[in-house]
Amino acid sequence: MEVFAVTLFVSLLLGGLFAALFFAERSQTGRRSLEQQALLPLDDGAPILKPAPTELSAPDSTPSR
Amino acid sequence: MSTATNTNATKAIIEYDDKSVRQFMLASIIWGLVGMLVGVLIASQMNFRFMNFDTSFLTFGRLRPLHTNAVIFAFVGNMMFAGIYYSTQRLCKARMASDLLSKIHFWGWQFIIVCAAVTLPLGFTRGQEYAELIWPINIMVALIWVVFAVNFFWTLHKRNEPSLYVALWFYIATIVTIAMLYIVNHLSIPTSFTHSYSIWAGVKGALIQWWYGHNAVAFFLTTPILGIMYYFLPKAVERPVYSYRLSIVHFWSLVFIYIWAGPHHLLNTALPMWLQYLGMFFSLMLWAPSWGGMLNGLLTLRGAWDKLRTDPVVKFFIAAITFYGMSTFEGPLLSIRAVNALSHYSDWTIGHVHSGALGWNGLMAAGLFYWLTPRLYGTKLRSVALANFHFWIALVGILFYVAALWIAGIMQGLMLNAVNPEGTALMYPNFLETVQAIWTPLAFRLVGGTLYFVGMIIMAVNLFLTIRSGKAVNEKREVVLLQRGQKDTMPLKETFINDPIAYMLGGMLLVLGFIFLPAHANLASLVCAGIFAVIAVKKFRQSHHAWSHWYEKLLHNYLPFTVLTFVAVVAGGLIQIIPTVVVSKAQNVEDRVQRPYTPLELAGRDIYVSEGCYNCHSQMIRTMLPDVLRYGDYSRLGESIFDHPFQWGSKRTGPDLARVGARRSASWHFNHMRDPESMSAGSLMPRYPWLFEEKFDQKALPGKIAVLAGMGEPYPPKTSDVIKQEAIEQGIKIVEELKKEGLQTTPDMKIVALTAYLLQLGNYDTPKPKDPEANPAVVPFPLKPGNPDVYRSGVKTAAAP
Repeated sequence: MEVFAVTLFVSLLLGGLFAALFFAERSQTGRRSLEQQALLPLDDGAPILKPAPTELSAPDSTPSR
Repeated sequence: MSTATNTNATKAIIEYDDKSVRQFMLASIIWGLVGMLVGVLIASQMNFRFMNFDTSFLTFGRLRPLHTNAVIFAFVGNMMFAGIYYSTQRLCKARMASDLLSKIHFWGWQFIIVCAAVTLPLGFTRGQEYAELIWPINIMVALIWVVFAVNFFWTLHKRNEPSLYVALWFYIATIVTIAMLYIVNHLSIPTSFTHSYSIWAGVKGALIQWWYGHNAVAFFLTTPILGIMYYFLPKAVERPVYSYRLSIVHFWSLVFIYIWAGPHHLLNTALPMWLQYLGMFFSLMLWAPSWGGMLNGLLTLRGAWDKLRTDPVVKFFIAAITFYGMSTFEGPLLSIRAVNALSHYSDWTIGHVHSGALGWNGLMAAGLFYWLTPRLYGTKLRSVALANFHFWIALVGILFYVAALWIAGIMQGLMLNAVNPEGTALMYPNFLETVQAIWTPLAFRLVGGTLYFVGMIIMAVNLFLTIRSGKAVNEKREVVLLQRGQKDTMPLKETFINDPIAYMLGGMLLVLGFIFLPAHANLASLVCAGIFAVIAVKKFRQSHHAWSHWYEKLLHNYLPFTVLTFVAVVAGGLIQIIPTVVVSKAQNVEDRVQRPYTPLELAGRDIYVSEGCYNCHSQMIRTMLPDVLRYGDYSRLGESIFDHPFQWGSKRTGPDLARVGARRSASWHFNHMRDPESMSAGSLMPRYPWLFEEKFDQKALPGKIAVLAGMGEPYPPKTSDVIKQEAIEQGIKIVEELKKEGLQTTPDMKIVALTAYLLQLGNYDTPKPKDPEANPAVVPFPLKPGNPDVYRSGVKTAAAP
């Protein structure tokens, strides 16, 4: 039973640590590295699985802000 | 019809405009084949004279501009647009702003290419390298470029990704710099619908032409392709670029330094020495950013080098980046004045250009097309084996090409520059002897070029079969919309008034002080620059967060970013060009001044320009003993002061003509143009039979002279009839002289006008001697801007006849 207690304790500790670090990272943009920008070409957005019809859209179809 | 379907408040589906990408890609492949076919044809003319076919529109002088324009603006231009349209949309997570502008851009560009392909073989040209297209086409190019720019920047404005990725910076630099270079270098005054005179003459024309010409290589053939590298290489190898910080250093140092390097095309010429040294220094400095970029590209493959064995796209990209590194090593090497004395005007330069064009541009294009086609047509590449075969045949072709021209260029350069131990006579006085010596390496060049062309055909077939197996598809993606508050918000004050800019500007001014200030003051400036650099590094270490934050903010604001890029590229041009352009003509002559052309000579000069004689003959005797021994006293600034455009040339397939007037008779020129081999056994020059059958345009002469006079050239006012009469009277004199040798023609023939022009080459007047200032013969440093070049007149040319 001690094993379960230790496992639970360590897991919660790691989970808590993860959550704390995650939110700290999210809130502190100043610590972001410029190198993260290098990932932009690999970030294509979510793919649309349905095959797209060709050549139908108009330029104003791009959603405006 | 709207394809944007909001799945929630902040997301939408975007359909990219991939039709434009497909169109530009296909156009690039087709024009690439045309341009390279013409390249192979003109390469064959260097070995086999009959390949000129004794036909006006197939001569080397007319086809070489077609080849260069087709490869640069049609092949690489369309490839660049394909890459930019594809990547910009993905990096901005937005469709191109306007389908209409995209269409106008595509069809307008193709129309320009067709116009160029028709006018250049017909002999309609401005007579400046890579700037040959006539003025109506120039206007179309400028307009279409503006359409492209509006579409691009509008897309940046509409983007859904806050930060501008490095590829976009290179595209921005391309758009603003090419616009500036193209417009300034093409300023002309028309004399008819197909003819104009550049507003720049002589040394001003030369300086501005090579400011443009060199940076056409930099900002048309390099920066957009680097942008493509920074986007498509990470995509192909599925990992981010090696170092984003290095890409920042790469970008800013490259765009700032490149623009200064133009004068390295004019080393050892009449160009003032301070400009020559400036061009050389900055060319040498280009080594660092260029290699930074190459290493950033190559190291992106870290941990994925196995892809080189399996993926042809990666093969093409990595070989292309390696060629980028090799050619950007060779370029600065050729910019060293001592090396340039050997290499300039020789085939070594042609080999260097092609290691960039075939190796860097051509292989990047192939990699891009092999990567794009399956994605744009929803299919797989038809044959990986054929793509691999294309890679190897292209690589072998380039190596043949470049190695052959190293041998040809160095061999001919050494032969032309060889003098006896006393320095009183040339070892190879007959120019043709040096031409015949390089026949074999030139034949190997032809083989190399043909192999590369075959590779292109294989690619075209492979891609055609791939396209046929698929169907055109436009990619759709779900993206998070950028909220209005996240858009560009950086005020000008924040853009310019900050530590990074202050330290950069201060450091730059101090370094410029080292280059330009008088002795001692320049050393003080250098010491200050060193201290300033140490302070800047210290400051950066203290507050690098603030500096990074400022740069990140800049990346979120495309307009301030564009303004800073423009400032970086415009600085070098202003410092180099303004001292030369504002100097008055009277001061700009050294000790000789050109005689204004007579009407007939002017008509002859226009024929010389129209036939593209400058592609093989220079009119610039350098301040080098072998040049002076071979061609006569070195050329002065004043001797081309009325030349619109200048005709200094950049390649000597044939000898220099700056002083040919006193060396050959009218009958020699007459016979030589009819059949060059009859006067120079073994000559490669084509025959010009049409010059003996066509009349020169007398009617146009008054208008042309009026335009030149309007630009300040010393033509006294004359009526149209007098101008035409003078032309015919001079023609009659030449015809009579020819008659004595048993040669028949009429005074209104093109050959008579051309002969009149050639006979006056090297004539000059001597202005009143000026105050004999001290003319130090030592190398000038620090540099002192000014014309005429007081330092060069200290270079004694004892061997001058």
